[in-house]
Amino acid sequence: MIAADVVYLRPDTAEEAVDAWRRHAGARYLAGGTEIATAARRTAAFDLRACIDVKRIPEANVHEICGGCLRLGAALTLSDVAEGDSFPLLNAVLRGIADRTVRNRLTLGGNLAGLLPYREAALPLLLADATVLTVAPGADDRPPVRQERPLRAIFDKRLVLAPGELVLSFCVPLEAPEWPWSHYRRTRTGEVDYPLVTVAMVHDGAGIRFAVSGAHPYPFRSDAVDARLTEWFATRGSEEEIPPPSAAQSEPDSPTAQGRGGLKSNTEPQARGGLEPELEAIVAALGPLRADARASLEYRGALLKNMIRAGLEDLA
Amino acid sequence: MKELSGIAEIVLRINGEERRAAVRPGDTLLRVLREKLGLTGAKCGCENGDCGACTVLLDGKPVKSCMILAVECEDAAVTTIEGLRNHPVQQAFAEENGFQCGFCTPGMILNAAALVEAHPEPDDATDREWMQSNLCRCTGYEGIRNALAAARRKASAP
Repeated sequence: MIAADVVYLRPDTAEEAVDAWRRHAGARYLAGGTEIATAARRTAAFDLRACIDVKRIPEANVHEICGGCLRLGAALTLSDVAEGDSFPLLNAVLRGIADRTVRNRLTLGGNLAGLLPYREAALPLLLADATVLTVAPGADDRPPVRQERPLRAIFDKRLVLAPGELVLSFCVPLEAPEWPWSHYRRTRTGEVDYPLVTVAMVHDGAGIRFAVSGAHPYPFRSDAVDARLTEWFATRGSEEEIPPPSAAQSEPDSPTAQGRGGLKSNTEPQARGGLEPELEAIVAALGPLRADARASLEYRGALLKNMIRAGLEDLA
Repeated sequence: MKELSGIAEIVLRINGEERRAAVRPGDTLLRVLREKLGLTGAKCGCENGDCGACTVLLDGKPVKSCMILAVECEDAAVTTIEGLRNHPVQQAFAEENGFQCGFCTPGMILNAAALVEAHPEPDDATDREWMQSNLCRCTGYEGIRNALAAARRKASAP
């Protein structure tokens, strides 16, 4: 039960939603509600005076190929998206988030805009150079403003939105789901857990794109690291330089071909020869790693190096 | 645009019946089921979306009712454990001893019923992934797994 007295609003259109936000101070947009309902119940410090239920806005529920892109509504549940076959890497990543019954409510937009730092659904979208369609209240009582912008332009550790701005959908270039991909996810206590490290990589035909979550206090993709991995990948020389993943790394019962749990037991750095310094340099270039009660900095670093190596091997 | 505040009457379709309840917009579906409508089959475990004891079906999909506001469920079909009448999964849980104290059982059965409906053919990976939504703290999962297999046999029997 949420102790606070809440006003509930259910708009039919995006414009009604931002108008409702303007009229109700402190309102929050409600989609799956998995985070809002639990946070508001747990503590009065979570300010919830009005919630605007955006699940029924038609534009936030699209799942279609249109105008040369795959458009995914922000109010689609993770289960809805993951059960399709339109974007295999996204599907694999989404199947690692929470559990099935939570994914039946948790939405794509909610995962990216939520308070939890992992935001794993962002990884494939960042790699694909997806764009985001939003609607925001207009200034000085002007009509709401719609904008379609590159996700990378408004994703700095988290979605950076204007007050009252609502995410409606994501647009993925059609070629992106066709790229070879790799995804590794490692948790501490079991498959239903927050990630210690999640890595997603693709080869876009010109080079490697790499995104990570869990290892740092926020998910991100870095052009500098993409360039470094691409150069390394192109000049890696003999096949022996990237040792194939061990049996433990590619266990057959992983939920996805290269999926979570893929690095079950072998977490020690395996790099040999000239690989270890390069892996160290790449991990260092990614920035300070996270250390907490769930995993040490060293452990996350070892996982990250193994995942990068295994991912490159998958893409090779 | 629908707007609710204070205490408002809503209509929910639960187990095939229309039920009216006076609720606050902040009331979760779990609390309304248990405290306003007397449907105590859905259990209040963690109230944090972890344990699955409060699982109900919303338009046929298993969801955790502790994470949903009741006002969000207008126009949806809610199925609680009281709405399953001698379902093959219920029979199988009883026959295979797929429970001990029974607290998690309503959620387990509803999730399993949705699983059998969506995936009539057995598939270990899918079963495991699906049933990870529910925790049992007193028995092992072997009986539950056996019950799932038995339920499929019952469901597919001519």
